[in-house]
Amino acid sequence: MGRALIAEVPLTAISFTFGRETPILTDMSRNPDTAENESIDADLLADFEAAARRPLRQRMRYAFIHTHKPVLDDAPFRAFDTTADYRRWCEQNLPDWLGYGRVRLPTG
Amino acid sequence: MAAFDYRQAEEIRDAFARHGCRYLFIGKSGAILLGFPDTTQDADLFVEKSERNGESLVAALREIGFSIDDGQAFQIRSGKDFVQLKNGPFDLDLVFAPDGIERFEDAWSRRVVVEGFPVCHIDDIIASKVATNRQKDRESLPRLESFRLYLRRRQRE
Repeated sequence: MGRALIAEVPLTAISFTFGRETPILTDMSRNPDTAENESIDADLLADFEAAARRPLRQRMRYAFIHTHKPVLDDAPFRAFDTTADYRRWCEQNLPDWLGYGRVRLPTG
Repeated sequence: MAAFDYRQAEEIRDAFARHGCRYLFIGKSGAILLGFPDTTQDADLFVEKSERNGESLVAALREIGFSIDDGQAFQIRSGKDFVQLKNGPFDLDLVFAPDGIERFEDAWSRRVVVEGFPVCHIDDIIASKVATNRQKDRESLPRLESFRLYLRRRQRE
């Protein structure tokens, strides 16, 4: 079953072909059987269905925005040895309101 | 600088194909390609970490207008985990080792191809955001999980 099943897919149809015949669930915190029975909020469902009717080019025009992010946008190139180094750099250098800080659970 | 758009995504797709780069769209930009209605500022690419792929990436990025000097090219080739590019026609993050995904090959085997764009499976996008655990990821996770559920149901129909 290692055979790849990749195919070109028109997004307007929003039907996808996955790299494996059975998608692998990597988020182990959620039980897929339980998740299948969850309901989708009606407003969200309407959003998803509206998006599915739009061609990808149009959805991308709505989705990608550009605003200046202080500090982050002020250098043309940065490279970090590890992803952890990058996360640490973000926490130490970026304003909190940008949202790049990791969420810490209260201790004790 | 203008926002990333479809034509630029095509430039990535076509130049990366010409140079044989191994990559996947990941993060919210990947989710948007899968159909997730939301906004984001950057395109994030999960790229295979190998010297050969690094060389291909540098050649492809230079071809589409990124000003990458020899020192920066060396860093891209030499196995950095994260490279942030703001020296080209659009902003691009090269993620060689995303949180929450063990190996590129694993994500590659689960990839979804949308109009020729190779994209991480929604499970991998969510797993990465869960593992990263930033404030901005936490805020988007409930909607992303609903979107995953929506995709699963669409897949069954």
